Amino acid sequence: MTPPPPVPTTARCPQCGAAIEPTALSCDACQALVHADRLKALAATARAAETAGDVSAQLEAWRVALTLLPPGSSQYRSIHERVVSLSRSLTNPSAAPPATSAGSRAATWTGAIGTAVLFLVTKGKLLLLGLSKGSTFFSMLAALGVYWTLWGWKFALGFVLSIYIHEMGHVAALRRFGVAATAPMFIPGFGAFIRGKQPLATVQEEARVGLGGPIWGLAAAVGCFLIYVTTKQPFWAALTHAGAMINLFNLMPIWQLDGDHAFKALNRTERWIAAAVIGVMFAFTTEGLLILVGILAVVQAFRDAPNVEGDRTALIQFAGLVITLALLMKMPVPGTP
Amino acid sequence: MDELQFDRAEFGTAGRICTGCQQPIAGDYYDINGTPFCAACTSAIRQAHGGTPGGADFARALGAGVGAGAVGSALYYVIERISGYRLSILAIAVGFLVGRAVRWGAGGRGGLLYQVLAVVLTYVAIAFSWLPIVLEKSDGSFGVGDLVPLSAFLLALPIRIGLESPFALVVIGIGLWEAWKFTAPVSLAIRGPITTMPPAAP
Repeated sequence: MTPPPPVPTTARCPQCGAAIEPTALSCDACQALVHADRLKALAATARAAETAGDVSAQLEAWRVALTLLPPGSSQYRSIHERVVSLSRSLTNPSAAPPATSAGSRAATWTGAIGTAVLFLVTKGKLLLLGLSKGSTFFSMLAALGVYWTLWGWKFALGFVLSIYIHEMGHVAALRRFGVAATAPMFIPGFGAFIRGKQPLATVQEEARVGLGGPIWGLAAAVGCFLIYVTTKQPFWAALTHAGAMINLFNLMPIWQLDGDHAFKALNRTERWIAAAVIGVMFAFTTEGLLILVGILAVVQAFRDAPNVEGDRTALIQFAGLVITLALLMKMPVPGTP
Repeated sequence: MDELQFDRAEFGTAGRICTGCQQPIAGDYYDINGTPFCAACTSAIRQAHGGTPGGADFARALGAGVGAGAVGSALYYVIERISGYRLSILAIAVGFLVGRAVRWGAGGRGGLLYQVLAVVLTYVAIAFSWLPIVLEKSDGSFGVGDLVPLSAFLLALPIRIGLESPFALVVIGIGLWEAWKFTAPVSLAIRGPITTMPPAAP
């Protein structure tokens, strides 16, 4: 039997022929960029996206380019600055207005109804896209099986879908910032998670991605609530309550939970305002989970807040989520004490 | 962005910047896990990660890990008292706390010894988080002679609860994985010294 050929431990520079590491991004001898052709193609893609006014596509191309450049190079620094600038144009449009995107241009023409239809079509497509991934589908089935044994298939299905919609909110936010992400992976009893494949460029970006999940999760809970109001079936009230609880839990500003990502963008004053909103909602609802979220918010408010400029949008989103989710949790579920 | 060229990497007039001291590197440099370092920083990194950890390092890691574990155990009780929820997910926070503390105590070193230490301390911390509940539910007649059976009972609890609730078992597993991950050995691939030639004239 012929032994397999040895795996090469070195490669050759395409320019000068010097030996380079297989994972090297540039040649130490002549500084030739190993992925020059791919970088040129990505730059062309980014320029085309710029012409089309598609900020997300520009970000996507430049972020991939960053992974192919030596971090100390001036090209890396230039592109990183560009990524930060483009990202800021999305998180704070008044600071650097981006060119009108194809999507929003269409929305202008079709009006409010058109925007709503466009939203449902694009987000609905994204929701279905996530289900097409084998890892998501099968881990989702496993989670469904575990929850089924506890709560029955109907509630288990609703619960798993609520978690799925929450995760796809993160995926949608990552896509908006041009970051590639893994498909959601379910862990029964724990929830689900996704991972961005590239680092985020700003804390504002991190806050939008972090809160994207609870915002979509809130939409799912509100949907359940509206069905409950229409049908008066206790099942939908229970699902509303469960959906609100998992999203409120995720707003805890600790570890890698969504609230922690949001708090990174808030300055000290904004953190105190967030803590105050939580306190007011606790006084109104007496929901125990809010005490936990509130204590952690106060701890974060005492800590150094590196982003002194703050992020008003993140604060409004966080406060809005706390208020609406707490109100949904206060809603009585028929048949429970 | 039109001024950018992608044929050769440019490192500006200052040349490469050391990832450690953030100063321009004059002359040769070292590549550690894909990033450039100057000779002085490379030497410092080699010294910090080289050699066998001593008894003092282990004792500090043990002390820090026990402290973090105690905080983690207390966290369960405090949160349950405040919110009324016994959150299984706290096992992950305990693993995180213990793993970080052991790593800190070991002076940033990782390795199998510290990984086992962190996992054991995390498990013990999770098990002993039930201590206040057991004491509250008892008639208060515990003596010194009960310490061993009580400890054995507590150490078996996560497994017993896990067998009844797969959720808890999965989350405890993730907590132990966090502790294991944070104390993993750091793999350093050091290349160099690398001599950079001036770019060829076009």
